[in-house]
Amino acid sequence: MNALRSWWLAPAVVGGLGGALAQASTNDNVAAGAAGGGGLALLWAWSLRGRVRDLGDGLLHGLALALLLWLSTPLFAAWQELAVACSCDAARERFPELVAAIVCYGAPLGLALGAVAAPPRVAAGAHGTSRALVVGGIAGFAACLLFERVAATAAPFGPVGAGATLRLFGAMAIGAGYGLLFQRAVRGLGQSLGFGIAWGMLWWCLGPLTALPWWRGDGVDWSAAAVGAQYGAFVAHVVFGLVLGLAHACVDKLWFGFFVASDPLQRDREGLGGRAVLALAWGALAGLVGGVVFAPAMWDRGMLPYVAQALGGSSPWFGLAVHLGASVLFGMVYGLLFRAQVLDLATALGSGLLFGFVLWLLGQLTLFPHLLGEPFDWSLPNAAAALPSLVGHLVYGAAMAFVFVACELRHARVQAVDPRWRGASRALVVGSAAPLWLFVLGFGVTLPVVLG
Amino acid sequence: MNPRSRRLCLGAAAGLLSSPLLALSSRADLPAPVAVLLAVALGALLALLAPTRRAIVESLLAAAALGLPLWALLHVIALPLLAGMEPRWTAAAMREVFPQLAGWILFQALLGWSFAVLEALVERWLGPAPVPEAPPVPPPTRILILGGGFAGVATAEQLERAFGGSAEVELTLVSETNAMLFTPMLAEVAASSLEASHITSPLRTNLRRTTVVRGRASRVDLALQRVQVEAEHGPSWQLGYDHVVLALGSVSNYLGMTGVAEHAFDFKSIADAVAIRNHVIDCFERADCEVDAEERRRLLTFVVAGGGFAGAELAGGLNDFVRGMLPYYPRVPRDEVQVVLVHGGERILMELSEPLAAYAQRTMAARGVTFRLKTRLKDATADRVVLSDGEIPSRTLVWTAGTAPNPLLKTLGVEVDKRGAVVTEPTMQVGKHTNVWVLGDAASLPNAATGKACPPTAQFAIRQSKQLARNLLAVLHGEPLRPFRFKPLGALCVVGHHTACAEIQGLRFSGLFAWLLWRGIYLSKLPSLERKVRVVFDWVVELFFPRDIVQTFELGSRRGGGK
Repeated sequence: MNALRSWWLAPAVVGGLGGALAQASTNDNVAAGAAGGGGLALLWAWSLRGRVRDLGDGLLHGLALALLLWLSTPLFAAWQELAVACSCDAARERFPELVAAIVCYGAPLGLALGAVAAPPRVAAGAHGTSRALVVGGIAGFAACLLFERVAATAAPFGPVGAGATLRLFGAMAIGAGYGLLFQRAVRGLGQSLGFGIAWGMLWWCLGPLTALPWWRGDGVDWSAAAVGAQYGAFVAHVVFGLVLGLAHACVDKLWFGFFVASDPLQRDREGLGGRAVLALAWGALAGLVGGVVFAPAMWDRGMLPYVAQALGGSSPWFGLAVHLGASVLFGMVYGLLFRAQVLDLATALGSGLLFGFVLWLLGQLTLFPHLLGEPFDWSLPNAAAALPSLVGHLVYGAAMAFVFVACELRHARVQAVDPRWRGASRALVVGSAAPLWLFVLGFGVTLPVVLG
Repeated sequence: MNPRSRRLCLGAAAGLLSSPLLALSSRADLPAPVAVLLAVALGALLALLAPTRRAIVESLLAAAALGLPLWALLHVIALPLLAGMEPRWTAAAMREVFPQLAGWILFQALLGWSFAVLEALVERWLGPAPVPEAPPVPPPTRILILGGGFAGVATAEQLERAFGGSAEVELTLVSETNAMLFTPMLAEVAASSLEASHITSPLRTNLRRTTVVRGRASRVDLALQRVQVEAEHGPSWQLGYDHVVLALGSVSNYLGMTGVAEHAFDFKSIADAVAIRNHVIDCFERADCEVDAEERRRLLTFVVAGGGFAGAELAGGLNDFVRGMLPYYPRVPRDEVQVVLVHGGERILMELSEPLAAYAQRTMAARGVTFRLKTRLKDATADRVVLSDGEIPSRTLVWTAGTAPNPLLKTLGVEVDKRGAVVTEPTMQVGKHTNVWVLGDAASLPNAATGKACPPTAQFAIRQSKQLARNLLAVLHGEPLRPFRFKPLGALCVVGHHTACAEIQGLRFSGLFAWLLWRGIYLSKLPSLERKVRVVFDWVVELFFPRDIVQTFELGSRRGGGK
């Protein structure tokens, strides 16, 4: 049993099996897959020993490794074929390898890494299995209900693709799984939103791309063409995941706040209301700056009259006002989601890009068509057509996050000389942040580019 | 080599090691030497952005995550724009630069990995980089603020804002109470419209980096730069300072009338307001079972001395309170209840223009307030108030007619005006004592905008605190000081239910609009969101339920809090 808990055995075995399975699903070189997978898993586990904190953390590291592995495959091509191997067409051809790397290799390896991790000590009441299951289940239920009500017609969702009741139970199970895996890692709403998206992306690979066709007896097809046809389901899973992550963090915070943090001995020094007001103010300022940075591109692309149409206008100046107003509003949302979670420029950039990606999905692909009175369309051609807007939203998110973190850093400097904060630790996002940003942004941006 | 330089060199070396990957993947857009230079620069930047040593995988993944934005910034936006083309953000154009995307993510991953490995290797071979000895930190400048009223607390807040997280100063505030009273709403507490603690802000919660000392400054030694502080219960001690801010406010001035001093209620503190409210309720309880008509009349007559803002607001609020209580005391005759405002001048509210003051007087009189104008208070006993033109049988007298700057100011040995306020320079410093600053009611300060002395109001005290903080910052940074300059915005006074007067920038308002203006403006001025929420909640409750007539602490003392 002790050997099973050691840092190397379980990851090496799971990595070997995963490598073999991935190779078996894409070509015949199973032995090489097992050896390579096991070796790489061993190297990855050695590099990460003592660093992975829990199952969710391990899973994210596994998924990030899978993406890196797929991106680096062309490097093993012959020198004269390198240019071709690196091209987008070659990436389309190699697309099954990406899904295989995620489903067969990265996810199981990540879970194995998390399973052998020694979780850090935390304060009593901070975590609990029953709480994770209940809160996750509630969050999955809420996310599924919301999804069924708002977006079920736009894209299919659900691990089994069956009737609504079964989908609901499936969503609750996915939610409970999320609770079990990520409860320990979640420090705030924004971070949970990111975990939820990664979880949704994984379930898209496991469900519509793998389990559902297998269940129907259609055969598993991970080719770019088949996967491209499931792009609507991808957006659906991402939206479900982000709602799940948010709902989980909200319910969990409520639970924690009511049962643990309401204790006068554990109260926050600034008070929830005071911190929220600060976050809203900084978010508004940051959102305005982000909106100003984004505005020239919108003007240049002639998007502002369309934005004006969302509120019944037509002038580009009115569109600009609407755009800036929305930027401020979304900045405030960012502030509430990510306050006290990012205290350096690199993590700020990651969180801002993630928020920009979410805004693109929810705003450009969903809300904006709805405001124009059109049905929203999550299909691949539509997403590919909206790629310029994705770049703009990423720039908006990054600029906004930089301003926001500057405000937070200034506040932190004042706290450094505030005697009330002596001995208090900040909920800084560490560890899971980098693999999360890499997987979510890398996978999220790569898909419409490669498949489109 | 110090740790920072060493990390920079290692970052640049890691960039150089990883550069072939970048040069290879971006060869369509970037010439190889440019790609190498860029890689070196990014390596150095990575070393700067990562302030502490990271684990190898953490460094690899963090750097790889930055690959995507760098690709978007460079290949999708910047390079096409520099070439005079449209950004490459259509699906087709982005597919063309997909190899660069993969290249950037992998280059960044390699950069992060090689940087972490190089750092670990160098540390193993050469040992940790020697940490240079930090230069000795000069002791912080001690700024001591005396007084926990508007002026003192606003000064502390402004200094906190001005110095931010800088450790160059150490702020201490000495206050007789542990909370700041928001005096514009004091009359509403006396009239049982607001809960007492809701208009006070706890200093220890609201001030972020200022050390709060509860006590009374009893002596200021300007030569030795020390202040003696008396605790309410306990020994006195001394606090040293480099700069002292005197925001000691004012005290009631009974103009030598010992009877008034003995029998009148003050109206300056939260305890005074609560004491008045409890006393008024007690008078009604006693009147309810009093058989002697004369005594009942004395119990039901409430005299307010002074027709300034405080007196008028208190008289108006008290009048609403006592007349609103009548239905719950059915044995108390309605016509025996009196609220009398005694004022020496020809009209009340001299700070407002005559038409507005006349409106206030007319409205208050219509609601039941009796005015005794051009009448001076001479004396008071437990059951009567002696005036220059007669007597009023009453067991309640509230004094709002006179204040004087804190008497401690006269012991400083500096020039004071006839009120007893310290004469200051326009910068708020005191003559040759450039480290002594005075503001608020305690200062006789010329306003550079008008050339006249500033009136002792909260509006001026708050503006003075801003200028004082700027000037103190300027002194510490060797910059020029500026004189205090402020054009008053106006004045607001509430005199009863839905009735107020406002004069703002020469514009006059009265009635409901002015009342809404009063509530809106003062609510915005009330410190802290939490207190704002509580006050709004009180106002909403008051809309639907009768005012609270519960007596909240033991009676028997004339002065608030049993002083």
